[in-house]
Amino acid sequence: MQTIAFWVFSFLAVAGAVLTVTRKNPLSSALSLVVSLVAVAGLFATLSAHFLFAIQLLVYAGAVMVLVIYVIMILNLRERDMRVLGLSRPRAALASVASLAVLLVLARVFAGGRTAFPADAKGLGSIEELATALFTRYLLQFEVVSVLLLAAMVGAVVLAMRKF
Amino acid sequence: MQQLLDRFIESRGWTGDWAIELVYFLGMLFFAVALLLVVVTPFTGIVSWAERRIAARMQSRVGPNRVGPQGILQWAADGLKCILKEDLIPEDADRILFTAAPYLVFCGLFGAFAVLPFSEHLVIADLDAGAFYVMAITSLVPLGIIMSGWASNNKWSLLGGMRSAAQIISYEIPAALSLLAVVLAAGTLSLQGIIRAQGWSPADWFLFRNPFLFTGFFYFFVANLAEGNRTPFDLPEAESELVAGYSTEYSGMRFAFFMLAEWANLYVVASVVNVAFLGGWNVPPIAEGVVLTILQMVVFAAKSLVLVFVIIWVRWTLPRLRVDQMMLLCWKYLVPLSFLNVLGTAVWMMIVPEGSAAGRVASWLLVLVGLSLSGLFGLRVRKNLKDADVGRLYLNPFS
Repeated sequence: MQTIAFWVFSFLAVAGAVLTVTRKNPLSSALSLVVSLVAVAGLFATLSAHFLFAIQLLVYAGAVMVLVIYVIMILNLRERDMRVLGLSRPRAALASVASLAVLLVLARVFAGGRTAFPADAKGLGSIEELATALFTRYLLQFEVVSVLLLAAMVGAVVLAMRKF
Repeated sequence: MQQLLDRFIESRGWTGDWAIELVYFLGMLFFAVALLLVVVTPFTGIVSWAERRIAARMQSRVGPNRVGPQGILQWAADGLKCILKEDLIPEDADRILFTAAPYLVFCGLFGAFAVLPFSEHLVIADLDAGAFYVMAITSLVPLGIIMSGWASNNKWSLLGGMRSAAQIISYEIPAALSLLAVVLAAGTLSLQGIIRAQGWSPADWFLFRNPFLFTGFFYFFVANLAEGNRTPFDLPEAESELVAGYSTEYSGMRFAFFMLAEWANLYVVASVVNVAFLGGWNVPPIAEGVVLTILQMVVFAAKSLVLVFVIIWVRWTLPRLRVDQMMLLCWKYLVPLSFLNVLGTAVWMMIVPEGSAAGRVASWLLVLVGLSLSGLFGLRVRKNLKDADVGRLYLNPFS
């Protein structure tokens, strides 16, 4: 069942991502991205990472995508409003393949290639494990990211308060 | 066949046979869905009847009382009518999104039932991130509402959908923060764990654990009312301004899905508040075994149903807020106050250790405060009833 779920969710995630970049209508594009994000949440769930699953749904599918769709609806973007990028089709394809290759190489270098998921990973992905890793081994990174987010938040408030 | 049965009974893991796994997967899906539909759908139906009867009583009307004894089968008749009705899709609507939207709303709310407990052992899935899961899965609802509003290609629907999205996203912050204070006090995100951290006597409930959680209960309740689009926060479907908001263009079964989701949400809200603040299924240690389980179910359902009644009561008593008042309440009052709550709860836990004498005294004092508040409310109601300039008040609910 895990394997079936994995294949279903993977297919949905990839299909959603492909539709996101190929749809012409911005709203269909955004909704395809939602499908992709929810499918990734499902992948987390099959890895028994319930916390990540909930966060993925809450933050991406729930909050971020609602805001994106909200903006699309307020501006009432249609197909004709979309600015066509000055890239021809083969060039765009080449660019995307190249960036995918770079990503794969980076993943290979930093993550040390393919690693099998440990079969007896009891408690892996649980909140306790996640919190222990975050607040001990990766504390510095965690704090740096927090400060960055705080700075971004203050920046957003300052920009919003500016009188135009 | 034998292998398949083994798979269902033992459910131990991958057997390596694709056909068996597929049947098993579909079978489990079918069981889960059937359980939800058999339990939840009649419940939402009966709540819809109860709400209409209560509303009618509050407005000196009779309400539906024809189908079945006291009209209790009204929901079945309504459901049948909705199935038989024509399923209209407006010509200019976005067909795919229009048809998909009600299901998204429905899934978001019915998914929450997967982690809601009914007793100590009766729960579909006790996730270790249960409290988070409820918030996450219900965040699919605004997506469905926006989709329905936009796809209807109608300005009332669009306005309703946008209002709803803004409202739900705003009120999710105070709701999550108030729940965070509870999680701090319980030390776990699992709904069952939160209930186990409380006790059966009111002084052991998180509601009376400390002054910050006491006020947090009210923020959480108000924020959840707003997230469920219930009056006084039903701006997305304000009848006097927006016809019926995002569901204006819907008819037949699709409309029924929206209504079903709204009443299912009543129970979800009530039981999450119950779990977080009112001690859930905790009962005094007087029984064992099956009796204990039944007792727990009764206690849990009773607390939740009282809250459901309060939500209905609020809906038919208070007028609707304006959009700016709704935003003001959230961002200027509820968000800072619930931040204060989280901080206050943390400090309280440092100063007053759990189970200490000071903590017990504070809990019982808070119980007294709660009792005297409800006593004051009762006196107010009695005075108003006495002063009311009506010939005779019919207080019999079944008249």
